[in-house]
Amino acid sequence: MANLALSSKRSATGPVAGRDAEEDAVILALEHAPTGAPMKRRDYGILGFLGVVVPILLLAWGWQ
Amino acid sequence: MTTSSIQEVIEGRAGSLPVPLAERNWGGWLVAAVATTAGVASWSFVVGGFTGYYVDARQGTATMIAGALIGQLLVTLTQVPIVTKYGIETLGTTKPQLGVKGSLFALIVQYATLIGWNLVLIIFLGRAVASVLETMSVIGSGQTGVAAVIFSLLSVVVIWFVLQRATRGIEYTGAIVATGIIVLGAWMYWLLFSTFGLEAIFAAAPIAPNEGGRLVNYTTGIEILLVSTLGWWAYMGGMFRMVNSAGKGVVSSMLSLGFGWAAVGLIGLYSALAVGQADPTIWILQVGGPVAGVLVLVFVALANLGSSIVATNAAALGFGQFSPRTQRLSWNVKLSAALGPMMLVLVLFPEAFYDNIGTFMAFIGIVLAPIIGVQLVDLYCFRRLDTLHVPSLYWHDERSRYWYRGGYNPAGLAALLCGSVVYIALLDPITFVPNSDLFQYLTASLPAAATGGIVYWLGTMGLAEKPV
Repeated sequence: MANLALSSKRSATGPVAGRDAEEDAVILALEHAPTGAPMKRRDYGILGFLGVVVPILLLAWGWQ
Repeated sequence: MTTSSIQEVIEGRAGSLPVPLAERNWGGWLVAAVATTAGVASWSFVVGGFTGYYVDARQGTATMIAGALIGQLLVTLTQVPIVTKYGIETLGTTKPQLGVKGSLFALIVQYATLIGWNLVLIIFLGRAVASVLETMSVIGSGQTGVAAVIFSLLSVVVIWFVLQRATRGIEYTGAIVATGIIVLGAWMYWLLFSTFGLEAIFAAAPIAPNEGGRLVNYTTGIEILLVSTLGWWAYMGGMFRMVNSAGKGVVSSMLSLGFGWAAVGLIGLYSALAVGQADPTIWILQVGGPVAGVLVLVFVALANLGSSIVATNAAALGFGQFSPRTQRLSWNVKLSAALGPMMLVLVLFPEAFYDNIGTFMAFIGIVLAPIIGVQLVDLYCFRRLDTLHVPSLYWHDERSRYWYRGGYNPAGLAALLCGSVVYIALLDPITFVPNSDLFQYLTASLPAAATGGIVYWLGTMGLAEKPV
């Protein structure tokens, strides 16, 4: 988990002197930008059906 | 800067920053249409014809669709949830695993995949136009070479104009191109079955199967589609970041880049088995005459231009993510970075490129499976999907959480190397001759992805014990 721990340490470093303040403000604002709707259980179910069940059935049919 | 001016800057720089949620207004149908235009192109026939070397029509139907669905399942899991949640592009999704600078490796893979295949499609399109014009006696046989280059260059100009409005350009062309592809694809199926007959196609033997037995040929059929489908990874962010929920993207992704492109590829398989020629444009021209020739040309133009437009957009977006300098470039400069090399190749050495691109692309392909394995572990085991720090994707120095060691994440890069070695240990990516008996039980892409994921997991956990 060091990479993850290292991540937190880096983020606490703060802005580096001399950086473009406007650019920093824009990039920092991304942290609080609204996000899209996440995957739901139903979406994983559809993925599982199309990506696992259907291929298994097809491969069984093709092998006969 | 005020909050509203910051918002304006973000909205105006969707080409280098995430697309704001309010602007992600593509529905499931639109993204499915755009993804179909990306997936269906002349390569569908090539891949279908190649599968016909190893398996017959029944086995080919099963292995092609199954391989494509399995491959797209992995691609969808690594890309759709994260790009629809944050509005980011494919290259950005690799920074947490490879590091801010290490993502250069992913950029090379993405850029080479997109530009390489674009060139193949554009050269193919130019040749197809010249060939049909020659058949219709519009040009002489001595002029086909020059005509092919001219039409290839014209295609690049068309791509440039369509992408002047960046991703929005794809929005307008996607639905039209996808509809044309579906209608003309259905016509090709009808022509194929009415000319050769379903029974004859399904009775035809594979062209040149491997002597290792039925299972190794069956697995080869799966692997061909699996490794080809993993190539969609490079295209995903450019399209699906325009969607505001993962649910809208899942079915679209699986049906267009999983089922859809394999379904068109089956035309190539059946053609190869029936007439020994995977490219249906050749026998359709002989069977159907000039009218059919024009329709085929329309299909190739729509399919190849559609794919190239989506790919160029993704390449320009990816290029714009890499460094502060590329991040600030104008859209036209980024577009030039994608189209400029294509123009040069088309003018200087199109023949040599077309004849040798296969070997290069085969080696690029073996890296995709490990990248996907690494991303699966990072997103679902390390919960990156929930914890992604978006500003860190756009800082290119020590402030980024994904700076790791000098900008590189050793765990991620080691995982890519190990996964690629496993792929080659199992299968020669150029000849598709297995290097190990294990291939017939495992495929090559799935163990390569698993190895990438396991090495990344071990590397990330192991580094915890060491001082930073």
